[in-house]
Amino acid sequence: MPPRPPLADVDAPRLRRLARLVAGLLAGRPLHHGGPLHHPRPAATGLDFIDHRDFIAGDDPRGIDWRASARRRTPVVRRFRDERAGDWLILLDRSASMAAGGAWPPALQLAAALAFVPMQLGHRTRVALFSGTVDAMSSGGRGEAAYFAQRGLLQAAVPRAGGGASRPEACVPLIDRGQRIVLITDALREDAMLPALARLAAAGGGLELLQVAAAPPALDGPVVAIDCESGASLRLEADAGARTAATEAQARLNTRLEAGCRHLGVPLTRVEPGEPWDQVVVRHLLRRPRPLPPESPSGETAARPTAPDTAPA
Amino acid sequence: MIGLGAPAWLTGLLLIPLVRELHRRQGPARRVQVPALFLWRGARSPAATGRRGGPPDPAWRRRALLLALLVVALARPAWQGPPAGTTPTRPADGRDAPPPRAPVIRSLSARPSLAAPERLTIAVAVANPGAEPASPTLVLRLGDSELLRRPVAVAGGGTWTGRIETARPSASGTAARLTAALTMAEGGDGGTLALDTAPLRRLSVRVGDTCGEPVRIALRTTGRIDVAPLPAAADLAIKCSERPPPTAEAAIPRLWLAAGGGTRSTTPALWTLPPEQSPAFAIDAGWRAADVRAAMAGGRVLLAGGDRPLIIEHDRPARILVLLDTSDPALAAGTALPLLLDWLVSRLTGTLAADGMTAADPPMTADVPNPESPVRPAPPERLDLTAPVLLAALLLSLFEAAAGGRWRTL
Repeated sequence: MPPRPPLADVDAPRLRRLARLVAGLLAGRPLHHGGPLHHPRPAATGLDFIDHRDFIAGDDPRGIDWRASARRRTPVVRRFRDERAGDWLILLDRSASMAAGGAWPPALQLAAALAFVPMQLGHRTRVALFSGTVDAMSSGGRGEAAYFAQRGLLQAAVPRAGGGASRPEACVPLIDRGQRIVLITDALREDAMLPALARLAAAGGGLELLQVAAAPPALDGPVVAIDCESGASLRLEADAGARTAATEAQARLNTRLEAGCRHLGVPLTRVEPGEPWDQVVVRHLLRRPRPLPPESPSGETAARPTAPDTAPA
Repeated sequence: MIGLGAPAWLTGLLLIPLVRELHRRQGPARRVQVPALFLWRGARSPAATGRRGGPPDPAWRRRALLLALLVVALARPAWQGPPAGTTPTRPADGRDAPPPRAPVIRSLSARPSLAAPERLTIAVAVANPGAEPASPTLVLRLGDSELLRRPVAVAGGGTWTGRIETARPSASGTAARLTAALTMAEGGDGGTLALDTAPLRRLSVRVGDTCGEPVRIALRTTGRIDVAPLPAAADLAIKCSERPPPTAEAAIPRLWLAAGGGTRSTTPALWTLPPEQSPAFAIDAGWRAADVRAAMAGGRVLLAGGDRPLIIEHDRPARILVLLDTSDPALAAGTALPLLLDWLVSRLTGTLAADGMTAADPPMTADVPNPESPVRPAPPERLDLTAPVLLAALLLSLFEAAAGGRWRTL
């Protein structure tokens, strides 16, 4: 029996419900302040009418279309094109480490969701796949046609079987000035990908990072560990001590990445294995960090995670 | 019992300690792809752990078992049961069979004595399938009387054959039952063989007063005819008459001999029976036959000559009409008349003629050696167990291949 495609769960009804939920929870607040058409007016106060939507608690009552509400017998508000709408660039890491660590399916789901939800809120989105270079990209736009093109690109995407690298900085030529960038990666680089993040943040109008955590490989006994990207090998005794050392190295990498994101002003959301994609999207877009893990008596936090999942920008 | 066809292969089991030692050493490690190798740089190398002198990989047991199964399969294991077809000899009287290698009665036979037809020659054969000589005691009984009791010495793998003469039994049933039994010196039972000698018994025959002397002499020559004083005791009635016999049903079979004869024939008489049923003697040319046309109605012609029937057989009532002139001195001078009368009497009474023989063989003689052929004991039943062992090895190797060495214990 073939495995279920990751995008099978990211269907249109769930995406629409998610977009309505995000819109309701934002309650008129802007999704972000980025893009070339920044405008000080609050949301839903533009001039370009789009359609009506159901009234949500917290909406400005002045936005209610009373005639339309009378016809529908339920309060609806007018929806205008967000004149502060910006361009979103979704960068999805398809390096071999994403497949080896099992991070590819949730990353693919998040890319599809993050390409849809901002589009529903009036933004333009674009999706690009990268590894050592830019491997594929879609055209930017909004509307169903643009989303279907982006979804088709994601459905056809597969991670690299080996070789390559995780180089998001290769996508810098794609970035327009002021463009919002969402980077979905496992950030498994010795430099915690911080130089690349700095370049991306400088090139665009803002950078957001979703770090998809990979499940630690189940190594046992004497093994020859081979890096799936560089091909380098290391003969090691994968006992409990080695597994603990690897977990601690991952924790140190996370701590360094978090500190770098905080320094660069990059919102960081860490995605744990098995976490539902829609919850991750809501948590990321609404900037609602999960509570910190309890501290140990020695003052050290647990080995994983060592930092809040979402670092405020 | 489990046996091995090539036990030398079991020396391959000595390789099992080598398998264990090889698993103590560091073999080719598994190659595992990891997302980021730099995370594992803090792990110790196998050399640093001192693994070389440590306990062996627990997977060595599974691989040693696979090796052992293959070695055992090469040794051709088999389950060996008792020899095929060696069912103990069952005596004719249904008693328990003797031990498989003890002497047994191979055959028991009886026939009229050639020198004295009124007596029977009894032949008995005792076989010794074992390798050691044996001296069982042979006991022969005819009815209630014991004919013989003597030890017989039979060499290992040999056969002892003995003959004894005794008078024909006068009655059928239990009195005509011939029994041969073997008794072992150490008290064992060598089995019993029984033979019904009723077909060779003496017959009580009523002979008509009109029958001539040649017929009476010929009947006495057969050696088994007792002229019955009382009609009730008769097995057969012989009547010599010029008139045809009555067609009414009779209590006993009848042999009707026609009296008188015509001209002598110039051709021999011919049997009309199939060759396997025809008697072994012939009626040569020069015979005479009575002209009794009434006897030609119905019946089956046994002997014919000169385009006329000479002997006619009727089933209901059971009778045989003989048109040959049995009072002819020319016929009585030869050997044909006694043989003819003996054959006719045996045909009417269902007994055996002078050349008849009755014999009894053990129903199952697998252990009894045939003197004419060398003794070849049946090979023992053998169930080859190589295929099940190979199947177990195959399943284990499939498990090993599927696990890819991940399961370190069996």
